[in-house]
Amino acid sequence: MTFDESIDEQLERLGRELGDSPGLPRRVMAAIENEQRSRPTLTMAIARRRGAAVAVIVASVCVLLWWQLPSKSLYGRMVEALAEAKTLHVSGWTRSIDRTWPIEERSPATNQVEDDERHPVDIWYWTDPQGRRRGYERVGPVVVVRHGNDFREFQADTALTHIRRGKPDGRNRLSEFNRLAAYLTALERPGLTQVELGFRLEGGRRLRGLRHVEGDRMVDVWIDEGSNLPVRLVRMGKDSAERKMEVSFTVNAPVPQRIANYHPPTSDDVRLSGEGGNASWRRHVRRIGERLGNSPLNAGVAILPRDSGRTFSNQWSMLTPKGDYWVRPLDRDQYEPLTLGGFIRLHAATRDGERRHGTWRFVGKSRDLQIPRADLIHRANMPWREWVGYSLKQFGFEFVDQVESRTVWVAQYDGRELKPWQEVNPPVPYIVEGGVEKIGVVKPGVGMGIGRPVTLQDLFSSFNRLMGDLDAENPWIIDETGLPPAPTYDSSLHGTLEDFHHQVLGPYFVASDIPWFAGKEALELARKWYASEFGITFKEELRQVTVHVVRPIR
Amino acid sequence: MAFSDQLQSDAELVDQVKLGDSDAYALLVRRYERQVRASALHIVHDSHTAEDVAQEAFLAAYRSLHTLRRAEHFSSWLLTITRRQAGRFIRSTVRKERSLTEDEVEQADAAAELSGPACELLDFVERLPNHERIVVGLRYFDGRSVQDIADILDRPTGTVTKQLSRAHRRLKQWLSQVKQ
Repeated sequence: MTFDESIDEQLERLGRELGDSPGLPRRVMAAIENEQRSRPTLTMAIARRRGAAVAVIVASVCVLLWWQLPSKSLYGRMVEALAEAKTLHVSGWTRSIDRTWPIEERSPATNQVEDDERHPVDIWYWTDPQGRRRGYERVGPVVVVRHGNDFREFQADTALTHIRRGKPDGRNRLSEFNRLAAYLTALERPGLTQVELGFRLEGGRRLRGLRHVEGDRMVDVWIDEGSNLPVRLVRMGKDSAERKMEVSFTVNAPVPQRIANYHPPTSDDVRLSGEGGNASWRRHVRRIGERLGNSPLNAGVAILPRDSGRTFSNQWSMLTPKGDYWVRPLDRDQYEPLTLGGFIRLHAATRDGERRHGTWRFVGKSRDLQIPRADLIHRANMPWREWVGYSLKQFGFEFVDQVESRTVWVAQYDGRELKPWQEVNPPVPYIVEGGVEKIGVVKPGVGMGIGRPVTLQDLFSSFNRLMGDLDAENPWIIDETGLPPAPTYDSSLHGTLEDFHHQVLGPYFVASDIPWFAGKEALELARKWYASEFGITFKEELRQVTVHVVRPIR
Repeated sequence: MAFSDQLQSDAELVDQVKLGDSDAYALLVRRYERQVRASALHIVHDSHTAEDVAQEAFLAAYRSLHTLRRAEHFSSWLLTITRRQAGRFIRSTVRKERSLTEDEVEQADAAAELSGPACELLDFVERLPNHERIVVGLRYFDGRSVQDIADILDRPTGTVTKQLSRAHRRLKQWLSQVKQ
């Protein structure tokens, strides 16, 4: 069986364009509940287009709450009541502040997830006359404004602005409404204990209360029996009963003009992510290229500190526009600086050749030494030994070559017909723990999820990279299977990378993903998997190899 | 998530619904929501209307579930109901608005909110035989693995991969004919 990759991608794109309609199942079930309860002809009120977008939002976020309720008819009634909502307002206070752009240099003043202060909460969701989803979420000093798929967060206490453009990067619709989601997702965790709190009168309304207990947290939810709308949500510690958060829900309140027209102030410190993240890094590299055009590096290599300690959400080693210099980021991302070991893994080591992963060894614990955020710049034609040596020297280290005997795995193939790549089984079955899907969990054997089929060379080189510890101890695979290697990309022959992937690599794909074979505990798992799925076995041999030993300068 | 799918087969879920378990129907709705919307969208060319039609189709299927004799055919049966509901909507619209101009039809097409190539591909997907259309929908619209689809439809994984493969071949052939 040979799948045509372009059809595959087109179908996936169609699936993405169809998108989600998280409110539909809720509406169907609410209608069924309602029909069973009252048996009149089902009205289509819920599905009225007017206000449907808000209904979807409201249903998405509130279903988590209702799902915990013991009465399905109550659930149905609440969905029905809220489906007509045009706006949703959440107000109150909380002791915790979330930020979508964590602060790199964390300080007690800004990093307390939960503190003693009551931070005011003022959140609005609505749909504008053009049908775009809008949101205004102010929690203490942080305000988030959502306009369709554009997102802007302003942190008044740190004078930082985070702008994200393009599609929301959350896993589901609920995550788009992170403030409200944060309040409500606590209710969906397994293991909750639920207690009826009875009824009470408030402002002429009869409210029904439900308490959810999980570990050391309790959440009380109060619902208006008359309108079936949620009225209040209170979170507190289980033992102390100290309140951590208290918010009220108001439906269909007119959105004040000051909210609808609000634009966050512009700060000097602007962070971009989403589609803007790549552009930000490209612009940074272009500017470095312009500076180097005016004043080239005499030594051909330098480490340039970042202006104002700037960080980037998306960054990668990149050539300057003229192609004369490489710019290599010397940090992992906006959250994490780079260690010396990370520098070797990310920049110095390669998948093949004399500086491949697994040929590097650190003396002592120097691999964990953190290096300052900066960019390494070197001429494009500079031999790797020079720029790696230069970089290590800046931090007081050097590397020396040492020839030694190493165990390698020589891959041999028994000649069986390879299965279609779609039918290759993963080494570890789908992970479900306690009935819950463990998405994103990395364990030995679990796929790395790169989102496209892979060649045998991809599998072997990933194995070598993952096993390539900085002690230079684990084996690496040498391909002597005799299977034809996949061609390497050549823009003059293959057009775009996408064309190459679709039109050239197809026959060389052997599996749908790369297993996470890392650490000694995964060695046996890898042996079994290659043998059973491909008929590939490994013969251990001792070979003379050159190891690069990183050590302090003597 | 609230609707946790334990990957019971369609037939098992249908049997549970028939025994009065409406939660099982929620799983079926979630499982086929995208496919049903896609089928409706293919006919009515408007995403809001497609949602309405999809909702009506699920409700109609729920009401008539007792008439479904072979529970394992639920997905095909549901898509047939969806097409009927969409057709009913189109007929009622035509009755109400007999004087639709070409411009209005074009506007309605533009409102479909799918890109041109996606509309074209959806047309072809809807042309596939039911069993292939369903595995394509579960695979690409719902993001299911081959093993999941095999569990859902209670078919061997080999059968699912063959059906996907055939669907790919058909789609490729149809698309290439269009491009010629």
